[in-house]
Amino acid sequence: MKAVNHKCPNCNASLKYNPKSKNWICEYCGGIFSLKDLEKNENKFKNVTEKVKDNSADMDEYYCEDCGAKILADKNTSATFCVYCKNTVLLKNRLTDKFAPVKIIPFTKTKEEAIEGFKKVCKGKLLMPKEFDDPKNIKEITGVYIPFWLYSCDMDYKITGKGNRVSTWSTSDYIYTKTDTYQVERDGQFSFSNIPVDGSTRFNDAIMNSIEPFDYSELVDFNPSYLAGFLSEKYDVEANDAKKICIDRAKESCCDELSGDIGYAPFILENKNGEIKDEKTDYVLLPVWMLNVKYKDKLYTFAMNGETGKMIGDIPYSLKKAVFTWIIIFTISFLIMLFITYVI
Amino acid sequence: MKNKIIFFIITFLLLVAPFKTVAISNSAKENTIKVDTSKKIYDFADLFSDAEEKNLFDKAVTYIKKYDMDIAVVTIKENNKGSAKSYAEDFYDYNDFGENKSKDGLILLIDMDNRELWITTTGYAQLVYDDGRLEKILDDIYYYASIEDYGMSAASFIDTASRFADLGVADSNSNYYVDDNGEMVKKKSANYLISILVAFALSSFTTYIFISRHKGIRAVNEAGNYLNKEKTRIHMPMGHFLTTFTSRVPIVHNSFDSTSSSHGGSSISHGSSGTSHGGGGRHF
Repeated sequence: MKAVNHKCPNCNASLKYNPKSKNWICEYCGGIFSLKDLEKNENKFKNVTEKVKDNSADMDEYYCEDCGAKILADKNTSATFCVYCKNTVLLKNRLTDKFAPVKIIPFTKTKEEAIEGFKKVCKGKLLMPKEFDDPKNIKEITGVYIPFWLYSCDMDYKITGKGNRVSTWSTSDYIYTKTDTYQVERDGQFSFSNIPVDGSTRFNDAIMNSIEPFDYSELVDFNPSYLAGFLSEKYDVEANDAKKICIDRAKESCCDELSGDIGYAPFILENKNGEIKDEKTDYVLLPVWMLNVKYKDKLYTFAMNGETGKMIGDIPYSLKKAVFTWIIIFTISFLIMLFITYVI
Repeated sequence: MKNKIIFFIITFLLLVAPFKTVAISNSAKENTIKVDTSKKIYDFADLFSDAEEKNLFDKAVTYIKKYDMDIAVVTIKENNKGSAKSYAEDFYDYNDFGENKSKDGLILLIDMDNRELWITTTGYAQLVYDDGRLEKILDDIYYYASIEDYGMSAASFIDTASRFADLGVADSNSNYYVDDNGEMVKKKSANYLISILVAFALSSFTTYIFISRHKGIRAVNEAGNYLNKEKTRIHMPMGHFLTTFTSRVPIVHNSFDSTSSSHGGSSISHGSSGTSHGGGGRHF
C-alpha cells in the first residue's frame, strides 16, 4: 500500500507545516505555500489497494512514495515518518470515512518552543535533581495530532440532600444554639460545549487532561496537509465510550454548581440525577508535543499543548535535596520560634 | 482657631491629670479606716463570736509564720468605698499590710453592705493564688456565708489558702515572678517543646509543598471550563423543614474585675495606691 506525501509544487520535495507562519514550507527550494495553494495542486486520494499484512502483530505495511522504503505502522497511526528519507507520510485510508476528523487545531508551537517549555516548567523546582532539565536528556520529542472526541450537551440536573441552618443567641445566663434540619432540593439547566476526551488508548488520559484547555476558536476544517511534519493517530476509543467519561465530568460540574452557596451548612448530598438533551459528538485532531526525558535510566513523559504552550509533566525530586531543605527550614523555624517564645 | 482650642484642652488635661490622680489617692487614704495590723481579724460587722475570733487569729498567725505571707479577715456593715474590691485593696495598702518588700499577703473582706465576699492578693500571693485557686477558695467560703456561718467561712478561707500555699506557685503563673514593687513580671524563657513542634510542622509542610509542586500531571473529573455560563440556569434551593434542636450552655459569672489584665493565670489590676493586686469575689 502506498502512503501519501505532500509534495512541493516547485521541486517535488516533501513539504512540512510551519506552526508559526501557518504555511507549508519546502526545505529544499524555500517555497512557501498556503492551504489554498496546496489544495489546487493536491492529488486526489488514491484508491486503497489490498493490504499486505506483515508478520508483526497489529502492524500494517506501507511503501514510502519518495524512496520506496517499507514503512511499518501500527493500526492507529495515520501519519508517520519514513525512517530512511525522514519524510512525512500520511496514511490516508486512516483519515477517511468514519476516521475522517471533522476539525483540527493546527500546531502553533514549534519544537524549539517545546524544548523551551520543558526548561521553563523545570525552573523554580528547588528539589529537582541537578541537570535533569538539560535538553540533552530529551530522548525523543514528537509533534503528534492526538484524536479527541468533543462532546456537547444540555443537561437538566437535580440534587437532593439534608441541610442545616444554625442560629445562636444569648441571654444573661445562657448561650442558645438552635439547629433546624431541612430536606433540600435544587435543580438547574446547564449547557456544556466541547468537553474533550482523548480517543486513543496509547496516550495517558491524565496527561491529556492536564494540558487542557484548548482554544476552540482556532479549530479549522480538517485537511490532511496540516499533518505534514507531524505524527498523528486515529481513534481507538469509540464515541460512546468517550461520551460516558464526558457525561461523568459534566455531572460532576452540575453537582458542584448546584451545591455551591446553597445556603445550608452542612449540606449532605443524598441523591443526584440528570437528563441529557441535544447531544453532539465531534471527532477532531488536537496538537500535542510529546517529550520523553531519560534521567538515570528512567523515562519521564512531558506533554505540551501544541496550541497554548501549556507544558506539564512529573518532575522527579532528589531525596537528598528534600532532606537537606527540611533540615534548613526546621533549623531556621526552630531558632525563630525560640526567639519569639523568649520575647513574648 | 478650632485647632488651637483642641490644643489648649489637651494641654490642660495633661497638666491636670497627675494632680487629679494624687487627689484621688489622698482622698482614698483619708477615708480608709486605720487599724492595728497585728490584730489580723477585724470584725466591724460583728459577725464572729469571741471564740471564733481567737481561733481565726491563731490560724492567721500560724499561716504568716509558715508561709511568710500576710493574711487578714475584715467584715464590714457599711462600705464607704462603693465596691468590695476597692475597700479590700485600700484597707490592705493604706494600713501597710504585707510581708517583705513586695508586701506579700492576702485579705478576705466580708462586705455585708454589698453582700459580697472579696479576696485581694498582693505581692507573692498573686503568684500562689491564680484565678482558678481563688475560685476554689470562694467555692469553699461561699457555702458557709450563704448559711450565715461567717466564722466557718473565714476559717475555711485561711485553711484553703494554707492548702494552696503548701503547693507553691500556681502552674499557670510558673512563668512569672514578683519584683520588689509587688508587680508580676513574666520570666524570659524560651519554650523548647513548642519551638520544636512548630518547626517540625512548618518544615514538613513546606517540604511537602515543594515536592507536590513537582507533580504536574493531574486527572480532571469535572468540566467547569466547558460550561456555558450564559445558558446556565440555577434555581433557588427549596428546603422542607424536618426537625429542630436547641441546646444551651450556661454562662459562668464571676466578680473578677473587668478592668484587670491577665498575667499568666491571674487577673491583675492596680489599686488607688498604685499597688498591683490579684483577686476575685462572689455575691452571696
